[in-house]
Amino acid sequence: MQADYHQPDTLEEAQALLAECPDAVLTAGGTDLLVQRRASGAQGPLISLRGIAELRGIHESHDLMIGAGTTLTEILDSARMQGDYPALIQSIEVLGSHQIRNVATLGGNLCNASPGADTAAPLIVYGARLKACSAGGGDSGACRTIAITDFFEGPGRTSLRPGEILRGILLDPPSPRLRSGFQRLGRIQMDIAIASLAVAFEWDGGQARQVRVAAGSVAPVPLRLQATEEMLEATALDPETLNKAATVAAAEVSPIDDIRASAAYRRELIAVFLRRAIRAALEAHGEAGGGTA
Amino acid sequence: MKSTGKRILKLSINGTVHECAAEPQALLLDVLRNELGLFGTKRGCDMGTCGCCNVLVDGQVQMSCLLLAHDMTGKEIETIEGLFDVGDPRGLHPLQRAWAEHGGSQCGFCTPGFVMTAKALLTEEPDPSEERIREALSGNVCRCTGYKKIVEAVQSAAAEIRS
Repeated sequence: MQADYHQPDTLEEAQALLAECPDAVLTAGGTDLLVQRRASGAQGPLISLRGIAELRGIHESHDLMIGAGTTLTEILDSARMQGDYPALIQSIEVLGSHQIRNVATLGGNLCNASPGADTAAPLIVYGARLKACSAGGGDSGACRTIAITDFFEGPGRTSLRPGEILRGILLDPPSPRLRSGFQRLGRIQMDIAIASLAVAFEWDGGQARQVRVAAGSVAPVPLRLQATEEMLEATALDPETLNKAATVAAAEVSPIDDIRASAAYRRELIAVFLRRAIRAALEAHGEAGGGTA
Repeated sequence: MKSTGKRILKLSINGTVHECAAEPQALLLDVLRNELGLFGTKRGCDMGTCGCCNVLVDGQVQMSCLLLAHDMTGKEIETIEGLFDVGDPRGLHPLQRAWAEHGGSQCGFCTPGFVMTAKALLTEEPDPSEERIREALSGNVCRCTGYKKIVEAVQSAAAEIRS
């Protein structure tokens, strides 16, 4: 006989179940989790978040909140997301296959905490905040907001506390000057990324400000590259600066050798991705900039 | 938490409601094949990579090896067995006819998954470009051959459905 499968209809019900059964595992799309459980032989109880309407959808108030249970296809299909957060859209377009994106959720991609989670680097450069809620708080009382850079603690580990459920991903409305983009390489699209990189900055009178750079699959967690950001801050993103920053970025990551690529190759990719991502982000607005990649 | 044994499950598949008992964490793929005898849906990689187990859930292509059957209550599931065309003497759907005519199958194991993916695509986009077809089918793997004849089959079926 198998362990139980709970299908709560509300977040409150899910939190109560989690309190009652602390070793139950939460599942949303299940596209990573079910594969992992099959591989590891894990058979404990599952609590499904799929039926919880309040976890789904893209809600606009002052900030934008993407419900953690929103599928990747729903995000791709959102005109608002396409227009305002192109780096996130670009990362989802190359994440898995159609049938994966139709089921997989944004919250699941983050909570699974893969070092190569494709959506993490874009969300880091957009300064995303994660809303986590535990039992008894309803929609506000026991909720807290976690900066995405404080969320990942290692492969498969997050700073969510026992009993907490990721409620949604909060994004600031972008300024009209925001430029952003994403680069990734896998052997084929379906494969896990060998490396990925996202960049965002304010393009202000020919100068880059508030530069954010983040990379995936090159460290135990999706990584913000602060030394690289400093190199680019308040510059015109001229070829010489970009080349220097690319060198810094390649040194700032800490990749490993594995079956997908060597660490040295990953460092090389990060240098190339930085130049390409910046150039593409400017070109998307008909602006010139960047070095050669 | 204690185990609970099988639970009654009602699934709407190809327009018919089926009732059976299934373990709490049973996969849709296992229920289709083992409980309902719908063997058209294939178990390939069993890890969400090959697309052989693709079915439509409320019209959207999804993988039955990664879906828990009890989540499918209230949804409309469509499998390869549901495809038909009353106008065809053998009852074949235009996609199935095109696959046969263009040699889209060799061993045939991947075919049901490809056909279901193609059906979802053509419902959304009746006249997709070759690039779009290839992109839509990128999550389906054929190990016998290349994809040229499969793409031709989809193009041919698309033209027939539009006419």
